[in-house]
Amino acid sequence: MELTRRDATIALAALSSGGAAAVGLRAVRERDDPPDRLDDDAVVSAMIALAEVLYPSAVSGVEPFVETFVTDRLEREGHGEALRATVTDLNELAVAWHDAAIDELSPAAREELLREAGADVADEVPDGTTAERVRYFVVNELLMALYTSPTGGELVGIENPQGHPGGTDTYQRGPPS
Amino acid sequence: MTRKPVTGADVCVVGAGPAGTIVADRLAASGHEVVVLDAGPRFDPDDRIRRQERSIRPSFSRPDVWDGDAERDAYTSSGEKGYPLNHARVKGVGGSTLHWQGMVMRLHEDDFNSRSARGVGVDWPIDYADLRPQYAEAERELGVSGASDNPFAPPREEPHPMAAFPPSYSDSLFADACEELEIAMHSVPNARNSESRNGRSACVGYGTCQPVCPSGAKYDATVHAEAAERRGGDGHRPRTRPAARTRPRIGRGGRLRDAGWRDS
Ligand SMILES: Cc1cc2nc3c(=O)[nH]c(=O)nc-3n(C[C@H](O)[C@H](O)[C@H](O)COP(=O)(O)OP(=O)(O)OC[C@H]3O[C@@H](n4cnc5c(N)ncnc54)[C@H](O)[C@@H]3O)c2cc1C
Ligand code: SF4
Repeated sequence: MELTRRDATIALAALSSGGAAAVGLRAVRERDDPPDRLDDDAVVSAMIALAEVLYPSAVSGVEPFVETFVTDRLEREGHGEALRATVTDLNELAVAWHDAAIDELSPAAREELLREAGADVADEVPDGTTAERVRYFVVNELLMALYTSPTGGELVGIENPQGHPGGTDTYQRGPPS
Repeated sequence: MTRKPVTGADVCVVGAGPAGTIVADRLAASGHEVVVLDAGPRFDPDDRIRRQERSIRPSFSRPDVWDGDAERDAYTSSGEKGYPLNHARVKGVGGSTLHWQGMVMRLHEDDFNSRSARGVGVDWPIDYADLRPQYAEAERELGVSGASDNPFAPPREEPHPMAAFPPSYSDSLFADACEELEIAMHSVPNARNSESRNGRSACVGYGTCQPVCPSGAKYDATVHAEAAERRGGDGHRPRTRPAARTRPRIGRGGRLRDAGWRDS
């Protein structure tokens, strides 16, 4: 099932400015001297690389979808900075543990990295530990983008996923047979 | 703490939920100067989409969606059963309708005569017939979409203000099962626009009505807070002022002495 930039725009319209704006900002401000952050292009390619292992294999078109989505989320006050900080932290772990940046890792190593970081078992907490923040700003962020888009909803047989204004005719249709 | 006393108001309404704001709107319409005070903030409609993300993400709880504050809203339950009050109420202009579902069924005729009809409760001094015009009026005020397909509903003189929403796909699955089991199935009237009405959007199907409708298709009491305010818009009487925090002071004998308020 092909994801498109339009899917990303629709997911963005549904989510608009980050729900965790204020919280994310606090998480970042608590550090006195912010370390160097990845630039936006590097954050986007890391998120694309991670989405490739997070999204079901039935989904194609991940790159334009994630690029559109993440570029916009990075511009959102508070949320963007916390997202950048979290991907930077995860990237540091990638370099320390696998000697390469996230987008240079093999798909298997990217998946391993997420597990090693604890993001597979952590609950999402926007101002929490690294594992909790990776869960919030990377794993759940990407999954939410997918499943509030029409194509993502269709993938799991939900014609009108929660958070997506698909109109009232959508819920009258059954799952695709 | 800034106090802005309002002198000469005819009526002070404490609480900007549906009860308070509809009364305020009516009083304002009949020329009274009304002040409305609420214990919570006035929420920015543009923030609703951000609140919706909170309603979807697991790290936020239900009270977080409308900025519930456990400290501000501390309460105690007496007796053995606790009640999750802060999950049930929203404090702010609009009140709990900001996160209600908006299903609005009329009471059954027997509900008014429960003792005689069922042997429990009490018979009320009013009947369904007494309230019938008010029900119709309330449905117009809120904007209710509904069908007359409910064999158990009390009689009505006119159809609902808007047509019912068509049944969903999952309704069709239940319909088959109910038919086999001979269970009657019917729609439920909803305070949710099936078409655009009085400047409010038709439902666009976000599916998050409870706890937040970003489109404003679902009725909430901000509708009447704003309507009341508009009536006072010309600077003459009546005047309304949805406000911030209130502390009603109760005097001897349980009577309201005055209601101080301050900006939050
Ligand atoms: C999850 C949920 C779903 C619901 N779904 C439905 C439904 O489908 N159908 C239905 O008919 N009903 C439903 N209800 C119930 C309905 O929302 C309430 O009955 C209704 O909102 C009550 O209106 P109200 O004006 O009396 O009070 P509220 O809406 O609770 O408003 C009270 C207001 O008073 C303010 N206040 C409180 N104390 C003070 C103070 N000291 N000073 C100043 N202001 C104060 C509060 O901030 C609040 O804004 C639902 C409720 C919940 C919680
Ligand atoms: S637009 Fe419709 S489905 Fe969406 S939240 Fe509002 S009332 Fe509910």
